[in-house]
Amino acid sequence: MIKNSTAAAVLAIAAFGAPMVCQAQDPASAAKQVQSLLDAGKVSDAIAVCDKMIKSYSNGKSRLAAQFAHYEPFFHWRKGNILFAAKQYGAAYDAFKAIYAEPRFKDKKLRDRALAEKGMNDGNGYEPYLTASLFYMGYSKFQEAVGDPKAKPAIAGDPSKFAEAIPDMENYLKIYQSGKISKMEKEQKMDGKLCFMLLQAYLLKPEPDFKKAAEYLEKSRTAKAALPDDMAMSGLATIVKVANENPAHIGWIYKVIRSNPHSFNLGPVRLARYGSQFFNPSLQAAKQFSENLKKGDMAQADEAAKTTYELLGLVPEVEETRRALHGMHSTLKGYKGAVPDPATGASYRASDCAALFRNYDKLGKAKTQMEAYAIITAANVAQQYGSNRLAKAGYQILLDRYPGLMQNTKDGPKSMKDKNLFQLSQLRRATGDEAGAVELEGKVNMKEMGEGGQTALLVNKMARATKENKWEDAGNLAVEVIKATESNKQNVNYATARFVQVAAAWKTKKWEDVLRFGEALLSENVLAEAVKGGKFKQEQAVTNEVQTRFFIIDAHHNLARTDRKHWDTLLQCLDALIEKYPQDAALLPNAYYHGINTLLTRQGGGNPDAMAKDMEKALGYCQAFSEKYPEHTLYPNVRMLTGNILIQNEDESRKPEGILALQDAVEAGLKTEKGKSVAANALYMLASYGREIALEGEDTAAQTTRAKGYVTRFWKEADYEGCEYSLKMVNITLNDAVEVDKATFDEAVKHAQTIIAREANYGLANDSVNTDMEATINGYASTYIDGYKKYNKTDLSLAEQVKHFSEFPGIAKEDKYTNAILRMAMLSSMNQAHAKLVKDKKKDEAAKMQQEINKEFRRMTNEYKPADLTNYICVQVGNYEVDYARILNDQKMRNEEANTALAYFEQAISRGGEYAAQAKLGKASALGLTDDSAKKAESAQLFEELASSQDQEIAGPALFGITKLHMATGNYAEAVKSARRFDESGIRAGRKDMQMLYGEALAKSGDHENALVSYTNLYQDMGNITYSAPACKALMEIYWTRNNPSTGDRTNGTFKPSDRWRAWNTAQVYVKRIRESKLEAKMTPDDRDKFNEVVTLLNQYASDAAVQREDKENKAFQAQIGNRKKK
Amino acid sequence: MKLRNIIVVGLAALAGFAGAQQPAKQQGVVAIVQVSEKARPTKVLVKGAAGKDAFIYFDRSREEDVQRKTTGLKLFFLQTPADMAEAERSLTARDLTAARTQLAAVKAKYKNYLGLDRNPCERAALLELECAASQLDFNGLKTLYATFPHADWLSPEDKGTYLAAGILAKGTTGGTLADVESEVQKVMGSGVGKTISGSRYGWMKYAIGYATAASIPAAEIEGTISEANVAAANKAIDAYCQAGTASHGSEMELPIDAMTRAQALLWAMPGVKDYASKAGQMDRGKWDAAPANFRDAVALAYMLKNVFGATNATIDAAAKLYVNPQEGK
Repeated sequence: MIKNSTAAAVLAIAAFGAPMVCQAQDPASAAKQVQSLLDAGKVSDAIAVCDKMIKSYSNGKSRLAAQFAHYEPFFHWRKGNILFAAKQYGAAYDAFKAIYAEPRFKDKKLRDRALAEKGMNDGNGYEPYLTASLFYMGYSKFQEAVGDPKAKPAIAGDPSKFAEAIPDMENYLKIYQSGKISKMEKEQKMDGKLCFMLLQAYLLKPEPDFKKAAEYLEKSRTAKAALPDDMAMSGLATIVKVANENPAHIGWIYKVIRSNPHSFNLGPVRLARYGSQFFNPSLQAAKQFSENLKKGDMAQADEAAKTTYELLGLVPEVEETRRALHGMHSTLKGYKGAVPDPATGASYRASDCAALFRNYDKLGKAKTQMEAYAIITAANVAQQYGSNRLAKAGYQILLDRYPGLMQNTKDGPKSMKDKNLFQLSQLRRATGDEAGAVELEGKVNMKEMGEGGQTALLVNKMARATKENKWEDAGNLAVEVIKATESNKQNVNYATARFVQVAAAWKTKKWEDVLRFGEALLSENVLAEAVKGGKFKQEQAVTNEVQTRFFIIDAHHNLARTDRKHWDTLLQCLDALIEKYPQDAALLPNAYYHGINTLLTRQGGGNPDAMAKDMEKALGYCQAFSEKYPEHTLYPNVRMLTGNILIQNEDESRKPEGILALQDAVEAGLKTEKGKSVAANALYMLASYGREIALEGEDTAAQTTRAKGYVTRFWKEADYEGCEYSLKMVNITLNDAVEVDKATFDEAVKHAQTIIAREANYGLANDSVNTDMEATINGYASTYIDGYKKYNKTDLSLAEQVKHFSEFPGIAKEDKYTNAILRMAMLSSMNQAHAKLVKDKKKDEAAKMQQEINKEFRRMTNEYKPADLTNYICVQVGNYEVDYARILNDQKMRNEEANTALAYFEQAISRGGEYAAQAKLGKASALGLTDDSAKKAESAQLFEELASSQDQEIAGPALFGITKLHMATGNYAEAVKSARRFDESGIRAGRKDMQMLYGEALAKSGDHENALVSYTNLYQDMGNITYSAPACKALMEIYWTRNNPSTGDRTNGTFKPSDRWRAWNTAQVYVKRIRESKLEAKMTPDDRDKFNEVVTLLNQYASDAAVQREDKENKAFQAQIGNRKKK
Repeated sequence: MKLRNIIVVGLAALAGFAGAQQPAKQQGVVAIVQVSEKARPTKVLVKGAAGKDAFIYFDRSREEDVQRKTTGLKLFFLQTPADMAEAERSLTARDLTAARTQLAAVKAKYKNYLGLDRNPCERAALLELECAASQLDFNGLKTLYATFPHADWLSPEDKGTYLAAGILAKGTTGGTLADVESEVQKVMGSGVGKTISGSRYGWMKYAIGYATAASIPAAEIEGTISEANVAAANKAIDAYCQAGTASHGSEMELPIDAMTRAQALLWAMPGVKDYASKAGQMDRGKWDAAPANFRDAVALAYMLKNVFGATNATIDAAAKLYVNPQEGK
């Protein structure tokens, strides 16, 4: 800055030529005195002398003033300088202002006098005090603003003074650049420096003005006396620093840099000198970016991001810079001077280049390249914005170009390889490159990740597994994270892992684990504890707690399938959840829904009172749900369940309320596509129950209209392809239509055919089976045949029925499932026709029909694999095969048929459900028909298993089967036992067949007495030829074979006829009675055959001489008795 | 020994030489020259080169041009002429059009200085390559590369710029991907690869991205990329993104174009436009549930628009769907 000693020298010269006056008032002496006092450290005294001289010279009337008035500015100047040096900037400012603001000193005459003094004219015609004092006014304020922290005592700065300094400094700059200044000032080459001071003043004032600061930065470099390069760059660094410290101004950094291209024209060598100072500010800017992004302040986040990128762009590349410095140093080596760079204003020295080279060489060798960190920072900014691709690109460059990158840590240099590899692997995964991610993860050295890093890796893996729905892995990883973090229960990762453990168990359906982990999580207050740690948010804790409680409820729901005690626990958990989070907790609606379903399933465990209570509680949940969550997706379902409970309530008065609830379910369900199936269900229920339950004040006609309206609405609004209620509604619709008129009926038939075909095709396209198809087609067949008869006044012929079902419209040929059902419907018609033919005693036609039926069954076994058929049809076809096998004599063929039958039964058994038990029965029969002893054993085992069934329709045939099996293997004693079990079980169906078998078993086991009893029971029911004729024949044969002779005396009543006579007599009585009863004429062909067998045997026995003789004797004795009576 | 004599004479002349005081009629570039450790450095008006590492200067005492080798001198520092400095300033201010014209003029004017260290012709030619690349003038770049003066005299550091420019020109003007990748591999496997700057590395990645994307029909990039081209699109996106990141914020014209191209490809990836049209008003839930390519396309569009100042119809459409994924974290 301008030196006051220069002015003092000038004054000394001037004083040399001045006239002599009193020493005390002489300017030269006074100036010397001031200097002496200053040299002695007497600053106040020196100022006092200045003041005295100012006072003397300013008194215009005095002689002194007249002589030395033109010296007055000098003493103001001197005073100002002394005060400035003494850091009394406020007083200094006043002293300088006293010169600049005093009009007298601008007076031309006074100035001319001063200039006339020897040495006072600097050759430019301007003396320094007037203009330089303006500079010092601004400079004093500037210094006052800066303060002096190094002074003792330290002087605090007052930034508000920067604003006051600016006008004086800007005015001075104008004067300076106009050239109207003294030579002394010119020599100082101050314009660049002034710009720099103004830059700082604008920047450091309480409200920084970055625009002005940027303007003066540029001016400082383009000024006539441009600022040295290093000062300009430090100005830029100041701008960066101040803006970084004032988050609101972060964007000024990039604006300043962009608007001052010359300030950052950083070729490699210049960059080497300054670039590194921008790296840390770039990190600060990146931090601000991150904070603003999290706050959601996008405008400021974007400003900070722009600044980050701008500063990162200034970060030098180590290898490139190192080589450039090496080149420059090699060129300049040994040259002591500086070489200028006219493009930038910078200049370079060999020594500087050497020093910088060493620095960069060190960075290169240590593998701590700054540009690599810059790439990481840029990648992280991109990632936070959500651009994983850009972030991945950055980390890929690191892998390709800086694989050995190191990081200086407090523990010394550390490799970043594993950290960067891990990060890149995550980004590859996030951008869909799973294989690439796995490849890199395999390369990550876990040991190098450090404890925290390893935990982070585990946490990331766990988070990723949950995101990718790999819950088995997530559960295992959660265990590892828990182990790694359990020392600090407030650790966010610990709580998260504990929760993931529960969620993983739930997702993988490990219900017991859900209860174990979930209950521990709640009882140990894991989530609340983590909240205390600060990083686990309260809202997150609540969400996870509610989820955990829901998982527990759901686990109980699932475990209740095998252990009903979970129902009770579930309901307790639900009540606890409702009590703790009565309002708006996520998943609470789902928990309610579980509660309702549980109560509906539990139904009081069969106890009527408890059931009523459960239903009331379920209704309570339904009501609470309906009030709280009318917009929830489960609302239609809950309203439907409400309706369901109410319409089945014993209290008739509540049923109409159920209808209303179902109607509500319809309305709510139809609002959304998802709710349509619930609406369809509700409409189906309404269509079914609506006819039975009248609404208040509704007569029968209105009720019927309403009920039919549900059907209409179903087809209009709720029906859709694949709807599970459409087939069910087909028969309701047909049944309604058949009551109306022919046109309506015909239309309903067409509609039914369309829906059946549509659903069949839907099932075919989706590889699914509609289990309602069979019942629907059977129902359709029945209604169609009835309707035809009603409106055509004649039966639908068998040929027409066959045609109708074999040519059913819209069914694809490849749809074997539906075609098989239609074929069965056709067989059903044929069976009915066959039954009628038998009844009508049209033996030949019946046989022909049976042949046709057999043919159809045969075709079915050829055309359909068991998998194509429903369980019902499988059992039918299997039974057909078994029956067919039974009549075959060739055991090999019998085996083949039995094996064919087995495939159908196995199919039905494997699917389970309806008809599976019948299939097992069929299977046991089929196995028993083979000659394979292992299969026979299996058959017996299976029959035994089925014999224990509670279902008599299963247990009866099973016992029959076992008995037959024992008979076939000659195990008559066991056959007798199983037949007795049948008898004792009270099974009615098949009782007579069993009794026949029982008799046979007894007979074959040698127990003729009991065998006779068993057959006699059947024999006595003579009208039932099917059983009485074979029983009669069996009795005849037993008697005949036993052949006991007659015993006793006819005369004394001890006579017992012989067995052979009994054999003959049993039959002759039987034949006689049947013939007398005229039953013979009504016999079925089969019965007739059986009857004829008795007659044949009777004739055979009648021809026996012994029988004839005994009969003759009997008759003679009877005649004798008869004569005695007559006498 | 004749040469030695010349040198001796030359040295004697140099000792009293003051370039700044040279009569104005003499044209040339000032060099600071120091003959030996003990000699005073002085300024010499260099009139041109005489092959590699030899220069011609005007010998005042002899009133004639004299030829000298730079090897053996303690210092030969060719100063930057004012027109070169001006061209550099234009380039720094990213006034690429002005800089390109000025650099071409400098290159032509100082072509007889080729062979000297720091000669303006070679420096201008190198900066011209940067200028053309930044202007995305790839045909121009191809010509500049093909006519580059004496590439064999380039230092290893400058060779990186030259080779990267050649690859960039090839990849963007019909060169096959296989050729481009093979050349990139060659450069990165050589000593040049170790010193090449991030921005020049980015040029090569841009070339790979461009050559890869060339196999995808334009109609697919405008509409939706077919499954058959998804792998190529992914490769191009990754290469473009590396081109956008490699220079970590400097010389941003080409990186911004690379990111714009990556964004267009991401926007055309299967499922992205579908999700955009079906999602309606975006929110955090929809953002989290969106396909990865959708989020990347939108986030990149947002950055291009709001951080890098780039815009086009695709960027505008995508940027509107942006949801800040970090808010509240």
